[in-house]
Amino acid sequence: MIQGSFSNEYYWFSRHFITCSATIFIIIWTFIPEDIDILFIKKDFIRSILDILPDRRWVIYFQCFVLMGMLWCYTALMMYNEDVLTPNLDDLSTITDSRANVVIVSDKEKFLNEYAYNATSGVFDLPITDVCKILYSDD
Amino acid sequence: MGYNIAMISDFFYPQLGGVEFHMYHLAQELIKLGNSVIIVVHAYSPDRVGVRYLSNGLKVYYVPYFVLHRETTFPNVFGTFPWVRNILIREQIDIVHTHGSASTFSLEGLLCGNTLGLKTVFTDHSLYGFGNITSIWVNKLLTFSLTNTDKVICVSNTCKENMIMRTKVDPSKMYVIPNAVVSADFKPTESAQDKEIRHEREGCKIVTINRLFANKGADLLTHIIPIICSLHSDVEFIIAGDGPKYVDFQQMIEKNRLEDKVTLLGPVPHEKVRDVMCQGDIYLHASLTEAFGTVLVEAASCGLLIVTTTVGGIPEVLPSHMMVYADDTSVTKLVESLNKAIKILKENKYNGSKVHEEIEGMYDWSLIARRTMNVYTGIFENAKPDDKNWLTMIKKFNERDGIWAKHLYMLCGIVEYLLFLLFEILYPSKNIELAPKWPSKEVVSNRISHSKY
Repeated sequence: MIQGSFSNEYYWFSRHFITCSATIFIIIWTFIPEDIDILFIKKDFIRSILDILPDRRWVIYFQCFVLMGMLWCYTALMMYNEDVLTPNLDDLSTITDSRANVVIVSDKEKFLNEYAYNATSGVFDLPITDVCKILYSDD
Repeated sequence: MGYNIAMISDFFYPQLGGVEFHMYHLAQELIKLGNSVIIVVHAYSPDRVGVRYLSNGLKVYYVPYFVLHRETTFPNVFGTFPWVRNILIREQIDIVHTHGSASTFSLEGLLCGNTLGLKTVFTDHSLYGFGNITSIWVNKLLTFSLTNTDKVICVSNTCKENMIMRTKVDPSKMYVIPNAVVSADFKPTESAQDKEIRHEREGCKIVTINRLFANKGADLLTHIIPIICSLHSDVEFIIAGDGPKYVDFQQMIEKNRLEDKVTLLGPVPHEKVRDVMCQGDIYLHASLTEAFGTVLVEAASCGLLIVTTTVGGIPEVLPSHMMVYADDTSVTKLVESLNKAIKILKENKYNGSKVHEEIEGMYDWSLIARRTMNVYTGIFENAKPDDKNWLTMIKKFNERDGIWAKHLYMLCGIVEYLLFLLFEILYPSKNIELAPKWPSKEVVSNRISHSKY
């Protein structure tokens, strides 16, 4: 089986390698202190490297931006679902809709035997009034 | 007796398809076995939103939620937690059973169910690759969601193998339970007159019902049809289904002047599928990937001879005497097997009505439901007391996948647990009103006979 070209393997390995190195680089860039020697790395050296790179406040700013963006997404999603997509309580679509096949049978016995307590192979909606009677009525 | 089961997915009626009908019929049969089942899906446009009761007291929550692409909701790991928690507590759920690996609701439902300490089951309905960024994301998300899931059900053995490769789930947790069909809805043409017409008629009709996508073999079909039409003067095609490749079919028909031989029907509602199938003699299935292929069972049940490729789980679906296989997903092989099938039909060697009886015994939803019930009981038998302990679950996340992924998994797990605590403070679960369950028939009948109702 393994006779074909390895281009997929090379592609995904390089991708993995690049992503990992970029992540590690960004973590170091964000956290490295400027004013102490780390083992044999002198602080002047660190400073000169940071000088070459763009101002590192940018990378910190970018991370904060992504984090806040995520937070915004979550709140915006919840608000959109609740305020835009949810119909009002007095809206007719909370009870029935254009896609419903509502069962309308006047005979109660027939309704119970054929729909309320029988599996139909088509999808049928039970009318809300009958549902309420079955669920909530007490004798 | 019986469990309270919540089925969560992105796909349900009014959308039509394999997953949707699987959920509906399974739920109905589980109710018959004495369980209480609810279904949770996102709201469908334009106005199917809120709570609906379907026949047999099957309760469906249509939750208003932002739909991103092809009826899949916006994936974000935690977004569904507040209301899934509310529904699960309100309905006193014991088992969360979710369907479909490309569905946000189903994967987040698993995480949420585990966080609440409920038993979780996942059913997979499709095959995925490994080689592009989308499937890698889906696979990672699935690996995360299935870490603490108690049981995984796949629709075919091929699907199970694919699943093990993708997510490295312990095979002892996995079960294979196929789809079924309501064979009473897929009867072959019965009247004697019909049969005689079929025998007298010289030619034969080939049916194919598919969404016209590239992965369903639409490109193969556009090449096969002109070849077959030029080889046999008495063969006609009926193509039902809609999709991005519809235009290609129209062009193919015009280019080869096949207007009187090929009928394009466009989208066909599910209840009409049987009528379309019964017009034909051969069912052609040129799909490039298929986990199960319910449509094959439906076609065979209608008494059609099936010509199909051998991709995915298709060879498991039906015994070989009902099918003519093409060994390869190529035009030449499919044409060869179609020729073979046409020959079989012309020699009158295929008995469709006998096949219908065989299928009636093979595929039945009540059998599927009983097997699913065995999986449910298995969860409670194999459960360890600390299975749903948060610390244990975090430890399990730590044993999964690569170095980056597992830390992300643990982080997501911990955030979910914090969310749980936050919601316990803001909206304590004891304040959530419990929903009444669908009463048994005896109770309601008594009530009717004793009161004015």
